[in-house]
Amino acid sequence: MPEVDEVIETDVLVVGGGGAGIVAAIEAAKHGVEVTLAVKGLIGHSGCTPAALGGIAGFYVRDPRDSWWQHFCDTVLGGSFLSDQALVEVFVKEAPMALFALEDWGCIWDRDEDGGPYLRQFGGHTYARSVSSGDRSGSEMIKGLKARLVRSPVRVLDEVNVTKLLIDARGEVAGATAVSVRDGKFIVFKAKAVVLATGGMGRVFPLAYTGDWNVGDGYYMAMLAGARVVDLEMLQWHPTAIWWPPGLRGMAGSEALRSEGGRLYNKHGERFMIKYSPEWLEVATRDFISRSIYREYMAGNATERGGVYLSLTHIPPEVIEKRLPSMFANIKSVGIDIRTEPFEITPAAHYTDGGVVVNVMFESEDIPGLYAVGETAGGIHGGNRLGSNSLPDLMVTGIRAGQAASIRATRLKKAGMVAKVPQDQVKEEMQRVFAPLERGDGISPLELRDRHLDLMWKYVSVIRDGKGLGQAVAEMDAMWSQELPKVRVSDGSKTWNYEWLEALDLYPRLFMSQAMALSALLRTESRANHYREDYPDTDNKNWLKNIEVTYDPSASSLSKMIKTTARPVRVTLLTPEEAGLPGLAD
Amino acid sequence: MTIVSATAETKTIKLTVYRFNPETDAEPRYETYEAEWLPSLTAIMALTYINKHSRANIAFRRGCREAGCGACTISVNGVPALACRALAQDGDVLEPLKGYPVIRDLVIDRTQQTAEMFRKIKYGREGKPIGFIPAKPEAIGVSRALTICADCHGCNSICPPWLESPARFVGPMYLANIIRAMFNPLEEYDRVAQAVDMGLYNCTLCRACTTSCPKDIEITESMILARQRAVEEDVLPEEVREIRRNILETDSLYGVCGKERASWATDLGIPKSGKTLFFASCEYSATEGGRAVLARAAELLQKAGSSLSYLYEEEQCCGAPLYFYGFQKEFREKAAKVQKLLKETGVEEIITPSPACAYTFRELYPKYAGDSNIQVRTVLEVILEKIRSKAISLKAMGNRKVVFHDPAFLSRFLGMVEEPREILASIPGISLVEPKYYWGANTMGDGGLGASEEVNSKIAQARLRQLAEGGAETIVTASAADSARLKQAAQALGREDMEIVDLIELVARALEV
Repeated sequence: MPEVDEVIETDVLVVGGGGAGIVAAIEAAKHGVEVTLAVKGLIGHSGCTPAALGGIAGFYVRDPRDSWWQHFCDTVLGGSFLSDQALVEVFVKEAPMALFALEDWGCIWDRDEDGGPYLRQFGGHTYARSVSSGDRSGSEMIKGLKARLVRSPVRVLDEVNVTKLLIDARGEVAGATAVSVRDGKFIVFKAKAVVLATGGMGRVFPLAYTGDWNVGDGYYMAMLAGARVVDLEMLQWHPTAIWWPPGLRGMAGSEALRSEGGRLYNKHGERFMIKYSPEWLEVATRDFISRSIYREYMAGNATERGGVYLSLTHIPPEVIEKRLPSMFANIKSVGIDIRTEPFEITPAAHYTDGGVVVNVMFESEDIPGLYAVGETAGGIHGGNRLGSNSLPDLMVTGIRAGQAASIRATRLKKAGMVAKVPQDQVKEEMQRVFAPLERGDGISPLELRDRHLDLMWKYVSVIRDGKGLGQAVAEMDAMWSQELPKVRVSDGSKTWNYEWLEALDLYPRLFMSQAMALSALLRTESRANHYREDYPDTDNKNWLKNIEVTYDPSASSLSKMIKTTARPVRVTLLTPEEAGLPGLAD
Repeated sequence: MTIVSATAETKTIKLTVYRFNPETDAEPRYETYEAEWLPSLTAIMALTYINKHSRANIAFRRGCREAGCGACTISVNGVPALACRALAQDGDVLEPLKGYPVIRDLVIDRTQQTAEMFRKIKYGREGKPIGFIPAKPEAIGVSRALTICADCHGCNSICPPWLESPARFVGPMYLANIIRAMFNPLEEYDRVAQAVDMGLYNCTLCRACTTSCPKDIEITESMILARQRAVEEDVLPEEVREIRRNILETDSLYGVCGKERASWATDLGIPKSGKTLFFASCEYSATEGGRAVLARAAELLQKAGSSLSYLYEEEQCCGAPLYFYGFQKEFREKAAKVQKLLKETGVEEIITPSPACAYTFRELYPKYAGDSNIQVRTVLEVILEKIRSKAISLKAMGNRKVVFHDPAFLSRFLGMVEEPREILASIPGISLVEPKYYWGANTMGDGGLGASEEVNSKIAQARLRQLAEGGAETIVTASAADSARLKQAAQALGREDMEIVDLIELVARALEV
């Protein structure tokens, strides 16, 4: 039986080293509490922020018609009315501050000739309100965030994989357990507050435009600790991920490709968005574009290789070089010149719109001391996130949660409260974590991973139906109870063990995928990113509801462990009637 | 719709991977694996395939898969690459980045160093809240070009001054971050003084970083732009001021007087004017060894039918170091002056043994001194042409194993990689061994361009060790500066047994046999 190798006491533990985690850590550390940031990968080189392309929404003052209220309405309507409006209000009001703050931290956004910001209009936004840095806005942002982080007293732990939240007898956060990826040390964190910044779960699909480790571990840990997670069926599909050339498969064709004028064609050379959305064409919302492409697939209009064409050839080459430099360079690197030839795209898993149910300080409504930020928090984006809303989201949620976490930690410190780590939870977790290393023989984690990816693509992706979802649920039940306990890592080394990492990731992969499938099964309508072939219409009369999932430890099978509940959407400022949603009455 | 390869044909490729787990292995080893090929197959796709199908459990980092995060950098055939973008080819050798401790297999430890360095350079702005400040779009261009840097550490892992003398040179990755801030119009911190302090002038401008940057960033160009800022703000190390004085006062980078520089030509009877000018260069004319090569070169060219002229004591420095040290204004003036002199003497073609001068005349003069229609060739290009046209034929001098050291100006500035090898191949009896690191990986830069003596000699010694590894008896190179550096290194390392010879000299000998 292995021992706990290290106990680390800290006031605030931040889990995750993408943009949201860094912001939360910086903010918490400003207020004089000890902050530790643990990240599964490398700090500043993790998650999705460094790869984000498009822009950052929230610059309202340039266009006199624009306002936070317009951004609010765009976000709520773009999310098909599933957003938690109290969170959206906070988000749109504080987004402008995020843009200014980032320039103070060493970023600089593209300028127009008059010296003001060059603003881009993204799909679903009424006005151009997004600042950007070429098509590498995330790269610019992460440079500013890293800069600020190294100047703050945050203790950063690279490659420390947090596996479980520890909850004390009062039901509040007491810390977390983790394994060091580099040497397999088992670590217990004692903390007064934990901020989850672990991103989404796009990597439960084989084709995903998201960080490679984003398999929903934050949601999984939160659920196991007793928190509710919401809107999981709303997995956003990036409509224009690259399909061919295959070396770039799954890489996003930036939103900017379409906002700069890119056009979509099927195998007959037909610009099919004219058919589906004559008003918005290629700048319609992402879910709409994804479904339009799928309708083309179903009509037999996919290309020979299986995608549809995205063409920029009508745009002046110098505009492409200037406004889309990294798309141009990336695709050029595998032999296609987007100035002169089209390439093939397809929808890929992108952003997890749902997440942990939180209040306006981004604290879990169920577990005091547990915070969720960025993609890990649910509520802001409802059923569909608008382009360039995620980067300001991570700033606003990170700052708020960081502040709240530090205030909580300060309060507990003053009251002389010491986190009591429940030893039984630690012991149980240790056994689970080391088991795949110690089994004599068993199943390859990589083989199970790939089978599960295929299953998700087949039944739980862009087009779903009751039968397929039922099949997926049954198969995942079997994987969880019959295969997962037999997973074995090919060598028992505790040093940067690739298979061990994959084996541990299988838990959140299977658990959260099941929660997604069950949520999708419960929602008997089609809305935003959730499309049911057996219920193709949006049902505003019965389904202005969010689906929440909770964990029931007493159940025997995986599908029974996850309870789904539908509850009415949270409306504060814009009622469905004011918004003029169709089909509200009979 | 399922994910299947759209191509019917299947073939496999073989990849060799560095394996080392310090927990269980005494020594690193290399193992070869098979992976299924697919058009534009990337290194990550191949490694994922190998781990699944061979259960190899190779440790490698993954990140965004978008060439954005810079986590997955590895070395492919000695050149840093992002594993998510590097196309896997049959026979590729995958290794961890050089210069960092290995955690396991392809995974390196860069955590502590990164944190320390960024803290030290106070990466980012001072953080005075200032709100949105208007700025001209053109003012942020350089900064923007460096934004796409993913801090992937690839350039550091291949940078000779950083690998050999990290105390004197902060590394291209960190310096690029400083320069990015330097060209941010909102920046308040004195980034110019900081860049100089962190070794801006210890960059040898060898372009190793630039030619291998996975994001194609012109790192070397940004170093030159930063040096121009250092000149404007007059924050210069004393050595650099001395170089400017030397060139402007004595017309020689090394401060050697004109009489001595022209001494090699005394008995050769080369006319002072003519259409084809032999440009001896500061590099070759400053030392006795270099001057000996000049005499050989001139004889050889004459023998091969070229009618040369030479300016003797009136030859001026082309000004290259002025440009590379950031003296933009002085370089412009110098280039205009030299261009005028050349036009007055009716020169139509320049032939020079110095790759640096050839680059300057060919690429920089048209930009800074206007077009002159003067053709520029290196002596090696002329030799190769004569060999190809059979105007000269080289004879065997006995069997000899040689290794070629690519001077940076020849390989990475002029792009001449194959040419010197073709010349060597045409000498009977010569067998060429290549150093373990691909030609692009580890050239040492022009010996004249690193300001610090210590940095230069350390790089030269490291390079000599690499060159000696393959068991060659002779090192052939094509720059007097590099020859001189390597000779010093051989002396310091007690490897005087290794002969270091200029390619021109070798060709001349093969003509005489």
